[in-house]
Amino acid sequence: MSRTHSRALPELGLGIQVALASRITRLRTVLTAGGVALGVIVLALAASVPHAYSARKAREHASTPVFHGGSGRLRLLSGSTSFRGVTIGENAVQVTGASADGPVPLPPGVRQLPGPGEMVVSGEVLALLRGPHGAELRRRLDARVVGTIGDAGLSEPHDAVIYRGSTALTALGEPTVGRFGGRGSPSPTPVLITLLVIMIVVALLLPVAVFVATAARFGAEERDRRLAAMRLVGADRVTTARVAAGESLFGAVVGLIIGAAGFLAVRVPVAHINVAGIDVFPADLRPSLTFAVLVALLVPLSAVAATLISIRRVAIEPLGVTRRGTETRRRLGWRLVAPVIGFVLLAPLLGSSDRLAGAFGQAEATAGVVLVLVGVTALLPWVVEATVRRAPDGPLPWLLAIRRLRGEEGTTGRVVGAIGLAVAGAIALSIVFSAAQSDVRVRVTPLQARLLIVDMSASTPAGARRELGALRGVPGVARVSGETEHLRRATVVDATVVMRSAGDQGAVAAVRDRAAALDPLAQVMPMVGGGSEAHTLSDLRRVLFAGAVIVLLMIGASLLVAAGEGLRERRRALAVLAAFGTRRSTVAWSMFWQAAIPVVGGLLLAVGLGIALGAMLSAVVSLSPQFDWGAIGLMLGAGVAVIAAVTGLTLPTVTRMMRPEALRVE
Amino acid sequence: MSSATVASEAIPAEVGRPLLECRVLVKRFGQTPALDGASLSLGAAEIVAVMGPSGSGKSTLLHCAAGILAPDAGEVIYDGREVGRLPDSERSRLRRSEFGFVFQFGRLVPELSCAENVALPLRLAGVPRRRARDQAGEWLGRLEVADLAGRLPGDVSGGQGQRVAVARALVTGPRVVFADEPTGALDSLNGERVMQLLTSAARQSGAAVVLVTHEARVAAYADREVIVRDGRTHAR
Repeated sequence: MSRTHSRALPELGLGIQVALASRITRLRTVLTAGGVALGVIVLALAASVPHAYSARKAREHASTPVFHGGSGRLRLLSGSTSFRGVTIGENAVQVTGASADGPVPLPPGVRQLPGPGEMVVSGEVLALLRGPHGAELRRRLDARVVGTIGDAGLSEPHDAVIYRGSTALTALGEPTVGRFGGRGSPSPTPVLITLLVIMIVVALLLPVAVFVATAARFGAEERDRRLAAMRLVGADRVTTARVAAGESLFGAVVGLIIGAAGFLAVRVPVAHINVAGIDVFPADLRPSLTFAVLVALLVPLSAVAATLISIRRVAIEPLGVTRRGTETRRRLGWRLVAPVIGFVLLAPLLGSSDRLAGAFGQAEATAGVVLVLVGVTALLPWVVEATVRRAPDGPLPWLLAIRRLRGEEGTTGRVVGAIGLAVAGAIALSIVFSAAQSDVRVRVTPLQARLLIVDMSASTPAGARRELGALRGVPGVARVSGETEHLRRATVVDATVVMRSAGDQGAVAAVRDRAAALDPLAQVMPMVGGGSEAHTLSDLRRVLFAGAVIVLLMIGASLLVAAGEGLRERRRALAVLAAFGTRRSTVAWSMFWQAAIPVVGGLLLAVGLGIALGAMLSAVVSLSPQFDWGAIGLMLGAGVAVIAAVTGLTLPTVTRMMRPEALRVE
Repeated sequence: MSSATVASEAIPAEVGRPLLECRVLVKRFGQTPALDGASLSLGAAEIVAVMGPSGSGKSTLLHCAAGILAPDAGEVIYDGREVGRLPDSERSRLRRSEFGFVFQFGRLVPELSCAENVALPLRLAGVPRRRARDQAGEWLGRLEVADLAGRLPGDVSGGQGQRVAVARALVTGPRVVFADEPTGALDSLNGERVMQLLTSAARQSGAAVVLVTHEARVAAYADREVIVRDGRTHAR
């Protein structure tokens, strides 16, 4: 083996040693590991969604009865009831014949079918029955619990489902079940939800990537000086690259391990978070093996690549570090490429939501959204530079800030770009959410919102008429209309109940209770189901804003670290300023302006691109854009608050560095 | 050029063929000339002091001689090879195994302990960690700073740091040590001690030393002196 290759591991090891050697390198390692871990958790959760979705569908299919027209022994009638916001899946079952007539198919998770007056229930229903409102529910589900349904019979941990023994199914002519485990492909995820999930993942993941890149550059000047010292004692360029790679590789691998452990730890609570009315079994929340291998390889490699790219920008020589090339003005042209391509990709999807249902359309939408958001980070350094270049000289704090921004390498621009990206993503999403919620409200007329459909049965036509009359007497009911149909051995009732007011949940529950008392197999359904869609959107919106706040806090931490680093590197200049008698407030204001100029530029750009993207995405799903100025203002305010907090938190360091003793530095 | 210019500097007869020879070096930084035909020769185990006022080009001469800077014209011959023609990896190997360096401010890696700093060139050369650590400890002992082994460079005094730097320069058994103002940041007492330790250790291990200084009392530790003025060398 050549010396070059045989030395690779010890040199990487030296980098790892350096990663743990000093406060600064340890801090960089912690930041890199933290960013990578967060990225891995977000990625792994996002990559688990397809499996969780298919696993959920597989569970649903496993419990789906396959009916046949022959002489099976199990009859089953499925329905549902709603109790205090929980939808309970009701399955009435009736076993007929003798064991000699053949086996009875068992639904998954059920050990023994309940007889008349008995029921087996899921854990969720059992908890409801034992809860404070158990007595109320027992009036509706009036049967003895003889067993619980195992996880195999549930589509999600909090699935509320029962199997109740019945004697009426034969009379109603319900078909017999041949087996459980239906065939058929799962229904695709709704287009709007797909788009929103894509947006949330992109809006959360890109700032994490920016954070990791910023962390990789943290302390870069010191690292370069250290590598120069190593060059002096004989390290060649390959060796210095390996030492630097080992340093960042260590942080990335630690982050990968923490991220993997963090994913395993958070998937249990995350799985139980009810988002859009859905929760999943933690075991179902797992990414594919291919994804795991890809992340395990690509995450450390990208951290190493970020480091190697950053050291390629400087010439690390034995006598010190010099920058390569000359300072060039940032060009606008290529920075516009990403957002323009993004909008071009989204344009064909306008008003053609069918296209979005396909894999190609989703890839197009994802790429479009990613490129527009990446555009924020690409454009921001140019915006900052253009602003700073044109900014007139002013008071001393302003002058110091402008000159510092002119001289720096765009670190602030990159970090603020992440804020801009999060804000643009959140604004775009808020517009789509508002449009979707407004659409749900518009689609439901006031009369529709007051209607309930009730299906019941009775043994005689007279009994059916009595049931209709009993519904009219329920408090909150304005009128009841309906028709009865006499079958061979039973009479079925289809009733439409008009409530006095929409949204009176107490009155709806009373109708359900009365119907259940009249016929245990009764089904009560609202005329329109828009409520659950609105609920879904509202849930997603909460998740989005929680995510955006977490991202902003992370970026704030990143900015704080970068500001601290900047101050440390400028301690000599600060000491000189102090020697001249410069006031601390002057330096503090210059710090404020130094952060505020890029942030204001970033936020303005983010608002513009976010509004454009939101309007376009609304059009993609055929909705009129609704600008939620409150949410936009909230995100802007959060961005400004982050910057104010960062400035405030750096003030103690400024004060410390400008004490007379600090002059010793000079 | 004055008659004293040593474009082909005389080599002491007792030293024989020069180990390192700089021939008529020219080096400019932009429009500023740093070396303008400087020459220098160094025999094995010889200690040569390069003296001159600030800005005369003596440090640039040292950097060119050590292969750190490439001259614009002229050549540097080390052990029969022209250093300027060697690739970066080979020049790095020279710095790692045949040259040692001591600078004014030590240039120790701040993240590594004193012992780790001394062991660094050995580890870069592929010496196993334990052996490198043992050799580093031995050299710290010879330089009378064994008790600093576990401390970081930021926690030791300037004189102590320079002794660690001398140990680092000598630990690989180099044939040439380049010392650029090694006592420039020290008080006279510490400066004297560092020079005593540097020269005696170099003589014991048979290393030649190029000693850049502007102090006559430091130059007194050398076998001979070369003066640099306006980028040109003159024999004293």
